[in-house]
Amino acid sequence: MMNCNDIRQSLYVFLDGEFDAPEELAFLAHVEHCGHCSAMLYREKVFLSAYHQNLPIVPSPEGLEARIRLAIKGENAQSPISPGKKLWDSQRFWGTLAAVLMLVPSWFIWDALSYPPMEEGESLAYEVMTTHLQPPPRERQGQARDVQQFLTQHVSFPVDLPRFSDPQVALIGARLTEVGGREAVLLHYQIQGEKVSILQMPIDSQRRQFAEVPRIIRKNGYNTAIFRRSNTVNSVVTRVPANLERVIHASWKPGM
Amino acid sequence: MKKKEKDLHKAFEREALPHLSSLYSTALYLTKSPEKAEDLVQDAMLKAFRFWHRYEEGTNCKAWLFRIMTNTFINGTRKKHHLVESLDATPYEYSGESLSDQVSYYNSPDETFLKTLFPEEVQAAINQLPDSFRIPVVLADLNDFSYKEIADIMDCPVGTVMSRLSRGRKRLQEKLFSRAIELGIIDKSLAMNDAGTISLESYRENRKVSSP
Repeated sequence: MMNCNDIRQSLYVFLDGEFDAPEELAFLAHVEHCGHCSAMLYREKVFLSAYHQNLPIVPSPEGLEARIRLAIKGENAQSPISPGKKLWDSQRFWGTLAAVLMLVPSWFIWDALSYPPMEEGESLAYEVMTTHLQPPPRERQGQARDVQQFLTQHVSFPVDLPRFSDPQVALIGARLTEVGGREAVLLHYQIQGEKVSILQMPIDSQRRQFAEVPRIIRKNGYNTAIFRRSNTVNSVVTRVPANLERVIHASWKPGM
Repeated sequence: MKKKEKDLHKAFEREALPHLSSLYSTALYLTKSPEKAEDLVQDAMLKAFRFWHRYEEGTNCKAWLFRIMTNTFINGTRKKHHLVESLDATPYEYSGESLSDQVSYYNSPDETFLKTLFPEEVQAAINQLPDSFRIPVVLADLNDFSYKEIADIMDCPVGTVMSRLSRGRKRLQEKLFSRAIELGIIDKSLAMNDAGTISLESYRENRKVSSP
């Protein structure tokens, strides 16, 4: 049920047609029985209508298109991404990779192969950190329920979505990814302009070594906390230690 | 020019150039100058062409172009100006509507001045908004982008778009109302409260129509 304050705060959401059907019904149900809100809605409708009618749209000046065509004539453009085409389908990718490998001294490759494998936690922290640096998929930005619906439809394991009562913490997206060839989910949050990522994977017998108590790894200016919770392993990464603490506090509950 | 390059140019001209007018009109609101608007659009289109490989054919080209242009504008503004925009709420934004079930508006008092709006006044009022409000207002009201598209263009949460759009429009109402008083469309005495302060809220209060 919506109250007058909800109506006042969501007037434009309704007028812009941004409500889902259930929300719109709740909105209209209140407005129909509230004279004050009904008048407020009418007033805002009048304003938007008059303002839109008088909003000048200025056409582009003569010659601008010709100047742009001339400017791009001398530029080189790369092919746009085709749907379903991956980076590694590109000849350019393999050509570049081959060139890089030929330039890398063989002794360096041997040395790298001989280097003792990173500890499991450090390896995971490194993967999480590099994935954190990638931009989140734009099409998955939205409110928590949109992200939850997306995850329910596309992820085979039950994702444990951390919920925050703190209004400064906002879920901005989710991505399906893999870690070591295994299915994982990367959740992106934003706290006062800083990005925080949580990588979540289902637990298997090999990963039982992760403890329930968060283990903090600091690497290359990033802080990563790894802990086991219920049926998932969670890795939280951010540059700001205070944000790490806030997210861990909300998403980690001992004994679960 | 090789065939492949010709095809790329054709694809760019086919998908991107049709949005030129929308881009320019928006750029004019962002920069408030026809010359700067042209430069902004040209820069944005060049960038779009250089990064054409990042665009996925068949997806929302208009939103993609607007994202490039908006980022170009914001980055250019940040470099030149270090002024802190005040996004503090105005008294009107803070004011709560007086709840009354005894009064209903049959004729919105706002219609008096809204019906006499001139496009130049609307454009001037929009230009007075701070960038953080003006950008979402122009994207929504001039280009019909959805909240989600605007959030993608501005790289911010949808909630931020909703808040800034709402506050931007409310500020617009205030500015247009003030202009209507300056132009004499609204009698100043009708917009005064007992303390002699002129406000849109007082105007509405003074013009309430009783329910039958």
